This record gives sequence, structure tokens and C-alpha cells, in this order.
Amino acid sequence: MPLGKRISPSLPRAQRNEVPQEKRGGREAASPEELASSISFQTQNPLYSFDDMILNRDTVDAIQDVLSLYEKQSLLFDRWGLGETHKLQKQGGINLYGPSGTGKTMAAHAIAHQLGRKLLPVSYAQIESKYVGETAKNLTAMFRFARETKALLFFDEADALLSRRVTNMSNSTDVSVNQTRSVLLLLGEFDDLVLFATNFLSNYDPAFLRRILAHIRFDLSDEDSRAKLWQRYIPPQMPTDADIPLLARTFAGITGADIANAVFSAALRAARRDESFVRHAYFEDAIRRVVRSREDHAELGTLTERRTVSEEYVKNQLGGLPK
Amino acid sequence: MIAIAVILLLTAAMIQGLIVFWRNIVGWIKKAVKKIKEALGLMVDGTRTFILQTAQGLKNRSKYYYKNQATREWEEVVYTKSVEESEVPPEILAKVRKTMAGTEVSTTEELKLAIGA
Repeated sequence: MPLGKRISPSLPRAQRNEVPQEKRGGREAASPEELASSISFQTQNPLYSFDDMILNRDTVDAIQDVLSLYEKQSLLFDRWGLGETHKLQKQGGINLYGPSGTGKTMAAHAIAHQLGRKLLPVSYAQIESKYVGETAKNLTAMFRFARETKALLFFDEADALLSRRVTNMSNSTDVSVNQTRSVLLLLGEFDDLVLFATNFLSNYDPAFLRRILAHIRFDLSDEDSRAKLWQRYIPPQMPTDADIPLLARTFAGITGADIANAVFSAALRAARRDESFVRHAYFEDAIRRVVRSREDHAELGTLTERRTVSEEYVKNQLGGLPK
Repeated sequence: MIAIAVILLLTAAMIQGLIVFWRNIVGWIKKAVKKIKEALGLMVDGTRTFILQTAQGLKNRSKYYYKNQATREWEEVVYTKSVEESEVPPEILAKVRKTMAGTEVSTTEELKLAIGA
């Protein structure tokens, strides 16, 4: 591909009409009873608590601030009077966003654990339907199920369901628009916490972003958190000369799973060589291999950044704006 | 005679190595453009490539620019990928060596030349 050349994509999903012709307009809605019987939602007990997680300090603070809203509702809304001035703040959702491998899904479980609730992970395969109106009905049934079971709704990779509405949209039956609109309406009527997680905050519909109570950023571990992760994954009984501060300082941009894999791999090498302890160098080799294999697996390497930039910046980078 | 054959073979291997380096980058760019097109439904308007030395070794970096039609704002997506030192053309490696670790060295012009060649 020549550099700087404009590439024409096929129409994005949001612009395609995915509604079968014969189904438009005329299909009768299934009754709530029919829906309830046709879809089986499943709650699950939280698999993790915050004790299981090592998160950056800012992320922990942000989560705990928002959770105080649900743990101290009576104090905030009754005694301190926020019920009068901030009526809509009682409803809404928490959106966890950041790169993959940073603990967003674990955090959703930990939030449910802290609130003493079960989790209701949303299965898009169950919810999404190519037929007009069906997705909205499935979503309605799911919100109702969450209300009845008092489970926390959790939309993982939520941008798949709540993508941006495309400007100049002329097709009122567009599937993604309807999905987003349905969730927004249901959220407005839902008097409980809903959890969302995404890798790409900017994929969300702006209207949805406005309805969210708190957006909590998850970053790859900072040096302090990486040191704690190395400490956690190297068992205390393992003989080693590992310099944990050095490992934490040298290898950035890695996840807890990468560190766990590297520790295991380094131990295997020392065992294979019948050595009496696991050398520091083995951890370094192992984490390099882990990162490399993850990148190879990803093919595209690591998505380091996605950000909004000024037109001037693009001009400077490309030596002018593309025509 | 043997010496000439060895020199020719080494030259061919070196040229082949250079071709592989740039071909890999072109393949990488194509995949990223496709990914952006599929995942975001957006058209990439331009690309730049870099190489840099990090504590974890040499990294290729590619940057993609496009106008998000929903927000009408420009966005930049950056992918980073490890590269073996032995795969990097000597003149590019020399540039990296002269630069501080962590500083991006542009390879865009060299890539344009390689593609044009």
C-alpha cells in the first residue's frame, strides 16, 4: 500500500442494512412471557475480590469512590440531601475502560463481590438478533431478569453493542442504532448499577457516554504495581536471586498474566538445568519471550495508543492533509 | 572464483534480508489498516513508521491517521512490535545507535524508497 494513500473500506456495520427484507415492519412482538421462556439468563457468583487484584492506586481510588455511592446511599441521598439535588445520579453505570489485560473483567467481579451481589454477564450471542425489534426485546427481558434477581448487569466489550451512531444516518432500522437506543432507554428506567467494560472508549456512542456515572481508566501496571505482581507470582519458597525492583523498572507495558507466565517459564528453565536456584537472568529472558510471543500472536503487535489529535498535528506528521 | 561466488551470495543474502525487513513492515501496515477498517469502519488517510531502542530491545512502531466521521476529529493509532536487530538494515541500525534510547527514528522515507524500488 503506498504511504498516505486513502483506503476505501467497505461500509461499516452500522451503515449496512442487516435487516432481512421480509422481516421489516410486519413482525409481531413476542410477549414478555415468550421472551422469558425463550432466553435463559444465568447469574454467576463473583470469581474475584479486590484482594486478588493488584491495581494502580488511581484506579482503586476511582472505583472505591463510585462504590461509596452504592454502599452509602442512605447517608448521601437522605441525610446529606443529594436525593433532592442529584436525583439522576442514583441510576446509571460504571464504565471500565483501558487496554486488554489490565483487569477490567476481574474488577467487575470484584465490584460485585464487594457489593455482595451476583453478576449477570451479558451474552451478545443471546441478545443480538438480526430481526427488527428482537434485540430490544431481548435487552428488556435481560434488564428485567437483573432487577428480579438483583444481579449486577455486566456488559463486557460493551462497545460491540453500544457503538457510535453514524452521522447522516438515513436508515431508521439500523441495527446498531436500535441497540444503542434500547440500552439508553432501559438504563434511564433502571434504578441500579450496571457495569460496562471496553478497550476503546472512543467507540462508544456519545449519548451513551453522557449517561454513565463514572468512567474508570485501567492502565497497564505502573512500576510499583509491577513490583507487587512479581512479588506475588514468585513463590516465597522458591530460591532465587531475582532483583524484583530491577525487573519492575526494566519491563514496562506488561500485564499480570505476562509476569505469571514469565515466573513459570523461568522456574522451568532452572529445574531443567538442575540448578539450585532460579537466576535473575532467567526471569529477564522469560519476560522478553512472553512479550515477544504475545506480540507475534497479536500479529499487529501492541496497540500502544489511540488518541484524538489536532489537524495541525496530522499536517505535520504527514506533510500536509490528504486530499 | 570462489571468493566472487561467496561475495555474490552474501550480497544476495543481504539484499534479501533488506527486502524481508521492508516487506514485513508493508504487511504489518496492511494488517493494521484492515483492522482499523473492520473494527472502526474508518478510512486510514496516512501512515508513518519508526524504529526505536527500548530496554526490551528494538521496536518497530507504525502510526495511522484518520478522520473519525462520527466526531469529525482526527485520530492517531499507534502499534508497536519487536524486531530482531539482525533483521534491521545496517543504515537504519546506525541511526538508532546514534539516538537516545526511547527516541523514535523515522523510517518512513526509507520505506517509501524501498517500496518504490
